[in-house]
Amino acid sequence: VSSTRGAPWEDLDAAVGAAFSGDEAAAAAVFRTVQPSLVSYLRSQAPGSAVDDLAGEVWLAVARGAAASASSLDQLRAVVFTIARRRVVDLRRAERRRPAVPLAEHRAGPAAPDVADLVVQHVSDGAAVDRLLRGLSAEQAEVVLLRVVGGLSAEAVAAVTDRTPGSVRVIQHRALRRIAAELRSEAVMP
Amino acid sequence: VSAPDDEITEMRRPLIDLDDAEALLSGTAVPPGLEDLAGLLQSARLGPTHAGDPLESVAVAAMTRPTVVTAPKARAGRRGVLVAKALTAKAVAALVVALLGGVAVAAAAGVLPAPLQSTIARGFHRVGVSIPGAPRSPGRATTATTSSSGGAPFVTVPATTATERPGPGTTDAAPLAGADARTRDEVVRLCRAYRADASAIAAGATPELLVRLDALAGASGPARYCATALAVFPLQRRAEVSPREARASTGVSDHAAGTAGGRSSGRTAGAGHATGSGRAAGTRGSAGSGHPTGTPGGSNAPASSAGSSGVRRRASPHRGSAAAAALSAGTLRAPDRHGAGGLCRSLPPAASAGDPDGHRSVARRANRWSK
Repeated sequence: VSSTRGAPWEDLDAAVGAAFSGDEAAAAAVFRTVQPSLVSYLRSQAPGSAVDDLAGEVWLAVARGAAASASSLDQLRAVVFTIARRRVVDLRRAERRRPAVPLAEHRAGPAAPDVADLVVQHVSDGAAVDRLLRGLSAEQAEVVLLRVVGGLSAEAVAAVTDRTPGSVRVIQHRALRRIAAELRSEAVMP
Repeated sequence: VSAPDDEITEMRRPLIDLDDAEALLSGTAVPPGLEDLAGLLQSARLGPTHAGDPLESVAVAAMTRPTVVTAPKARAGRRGVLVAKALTAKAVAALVVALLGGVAVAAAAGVLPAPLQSTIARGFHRVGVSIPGAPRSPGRATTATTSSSGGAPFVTVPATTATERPGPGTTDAAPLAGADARTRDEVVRLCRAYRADASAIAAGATPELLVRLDALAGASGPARYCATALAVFPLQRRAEVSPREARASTGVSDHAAGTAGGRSSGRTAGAGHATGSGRAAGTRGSAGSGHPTGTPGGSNAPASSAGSSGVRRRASPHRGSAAAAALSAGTLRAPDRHGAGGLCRSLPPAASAGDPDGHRSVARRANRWSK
């Protein structure tokens, strides 16, 4: 599901082909469509890291030809999120090998959240994502992220995460049941 | 009894099946009772951003560059080159193995050209494998031994030469076929001495030579043994050495030997020249060989050179003598065996008198070769 709001290209599938043929306007339209979901995915999966750097690496890989065979926006999304997921996995492995703990923050302890940041975060899209993923396991959060934020189908998520489509449907079903239960419990006990 | 909180929560939880979950995530439908969940999912979905992202210009420039598309092709090409190299190496190795195997099989079958066959046979011979064309090793060659039974000739045939094809006329001397050159030369030398001095040997003047020949010959007798040996060994030697080497070693000229041998066998010559003067001169074998028409050859058939008296072209007494000497010395070339039947009668009278049967056997064997 892609929104064409604000994009000069109404047909984003055609824009993908035109972008790799050298059309800058088509490339810009594709970038503006995919970039927000990519940043949201990276921010959720790799908190505390340089999300912009990770996003730049993903787009660089796409520009090097990783998505040259993509002929539609869905195929491009699948390629983009596949690259992003592998970058996140690499980042986690690197952090596991060389854990970095800032000494100043360690001495000072967890800083109190700024009220202004809390307000901005609450009203932003990131707050909804954080609320959505609260209480989910890692694999459930990943599947929901790719389905909702990334806009991928169940089959595409299965391809990205190396699972079967049936497994993805089961995971997303359990995730939604847990989210619904959380929402119900919040409604009962505010 | 009050139900636990979990069970109460479970009872209050709306039922969501797989289809409802798929509809909520794809945004196509909102099942009843799940409006809050659908709203949360919808708020998490992000729309496109507007221009101003600093990464946009970089990403757009990178995507629209024409060189970016060639990157995966280069990787695929490199992988393809590696695969091609591996396949090429395997193909070359298989080809080499097939060629070597084919050459080895052909060498074992003995169907290779002679130079190549001998070269490969020598190589196999060094590692102890015997194939046709292998050289006779002195250490494994035949050795002359005395026969305890006395009747059979005295040369043991090694297993390596058992597969060699025997030549025609070697039936009587089959046990001699495996003798090496050194043994043959020794036997020929003894037999020549025996033949040259037959009268003295008969008188008992050289008992040592006679003892040795008796030991070699066994029951067949020295005369018969020498006749067979002088007929067979030189032919074997001729077959082993080149014609040039044979000429150099024997001193018999090619032309002389060829003319001495004639072009037809003694039997044929005798039949075609039955009424000629050659018979009267005692040169039946080759006297008429040069005269198929039955023209008498008496004019060029002196008694002293009976072996070549009937040779058609440029017959010469000297050539006849040389051929006779070659036959006597056991160095007559293989192509010249045709006239051996006649030439054997031109041997020195002493030798002929000493063993007429032996010379007849030589003639019979030579005629058999000529067939």
